[in-house]
Amino acid sequence: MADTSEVISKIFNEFNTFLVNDQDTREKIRDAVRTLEQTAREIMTTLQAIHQKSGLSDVLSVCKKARDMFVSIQAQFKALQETFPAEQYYRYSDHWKFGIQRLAFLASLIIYLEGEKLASREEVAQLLGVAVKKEDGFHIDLEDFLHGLLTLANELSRLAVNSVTLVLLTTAQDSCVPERSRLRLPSPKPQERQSPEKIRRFEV
Amino acid sequence: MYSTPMVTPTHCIPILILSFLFGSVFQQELDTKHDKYERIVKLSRDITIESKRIIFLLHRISGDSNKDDVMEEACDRISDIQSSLLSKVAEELVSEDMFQFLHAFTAGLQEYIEAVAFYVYVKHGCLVTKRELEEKYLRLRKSPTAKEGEPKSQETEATSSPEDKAPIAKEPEDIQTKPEPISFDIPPLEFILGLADFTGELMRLCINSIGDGDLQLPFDVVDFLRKVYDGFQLVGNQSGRELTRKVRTLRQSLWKVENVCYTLQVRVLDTQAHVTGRYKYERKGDESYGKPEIET
Repeated sequence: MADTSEVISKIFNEFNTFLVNDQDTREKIRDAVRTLEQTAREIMTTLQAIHQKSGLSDVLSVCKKARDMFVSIQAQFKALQETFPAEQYYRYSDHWKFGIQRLAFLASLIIYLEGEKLASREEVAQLLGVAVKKEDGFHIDLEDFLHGLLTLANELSRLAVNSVTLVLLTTAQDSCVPERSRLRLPSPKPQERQSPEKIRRFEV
Repeated sequence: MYSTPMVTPTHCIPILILSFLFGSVFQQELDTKHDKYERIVKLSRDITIESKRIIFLLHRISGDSNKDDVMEEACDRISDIQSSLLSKVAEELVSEDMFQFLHAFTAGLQEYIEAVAFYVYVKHGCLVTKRELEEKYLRLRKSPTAKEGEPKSQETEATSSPEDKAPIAKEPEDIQTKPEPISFDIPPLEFILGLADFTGELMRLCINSIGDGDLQLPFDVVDFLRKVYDGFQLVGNQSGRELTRKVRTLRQSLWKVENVCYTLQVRVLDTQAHVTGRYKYERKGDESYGKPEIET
């Protein structure tokens, strides 16, 4: 009988140790994720400038500013990776799922604003400083990347509206282009677009 | 002024690439994952059903009359689960992060742990440890083991095999030789949750054994259950809602079992006293309050 109690208490002691360690790890992850999300919010604030007239007229420098902030994001992802064993990504992935979706959106927004193109998974991952494939360590899940693109679509439709208000028709037209290609509509031919000179006449 | 650095449509991802990305690369990747998930869910459900059957089988033991037969059958069925269903799960998990799919088979795994824990308790009267479970009851082999050396009954699992077998049949040479052992670790939380379920079976065992007229087993079980409960007390409620809920159920079972044992004890003492005629009253005037004194 004494033997049974010993076995039982051993089982539960082991489990207790496991729990304590697990909680320590989660605590560290939470801290790392908190700093990540903080930086993400800062980037978001920076990028919101594109909805203002001043920001919209100088999108590239806004992007530059935001891009520079991604350097600290990369470092923070490195720090996050060190808090847990690499093969247990999905055990803890709930903690950073939201943050990485947000960052994927921000990265794809920057890439769109800079080059008017839809970001690829590789580009986003590179900007975040994470891998694309599961085998290569800390990676961005396909779902999270796609989630980021969905948010991008929302944001671009808002940008389209706002840039009309700001009478910058070029942007309004362009932000429809990825949707156009998905729907297999012909892309607008370059000569059909209004040249910057023409637009300037509409400017208030 | 928003200056577009590049204005030609070539800078947008061309239609073909986009539809290729969404239509085939991403879709395929997601489909592969979801299919795997579904397959595991299916296996998990089969494991749950079979484990439940084993538990019911073990409850059918009454006294020593059929114990050996039942134990033998239970043992066979447990190894059947290992060689078929659990091995298939392990195969799906090869080179995957098991936590990605844990949600798909946690129910089946817990039920299996419950069945094994119950089996071990009935057999040896002790609690199964995680290592014992992994070493003895999680011996998994790569798929085509059925032909190897076990002519055991396979009536129960005839489900979901055709598509599972398809990807394995690539190297017929390999199949003929030794089936490769594969395994996965049981996450500690799942193990403990399985044990929590197992306490429910102990409660049932205790109540059933009283029905059978066994006067020793209920007390053994309640003793054991109390120790397990102490273990759970040590853990407290620090590991999530599911465990807290299960521990609450455990407390109710224990409460029920303890009450039953109390009643049983009182009745036994009462009966003994009456039968032996040694029911003595401490007389206080002519009141008939008193306590039984059992002389041994």
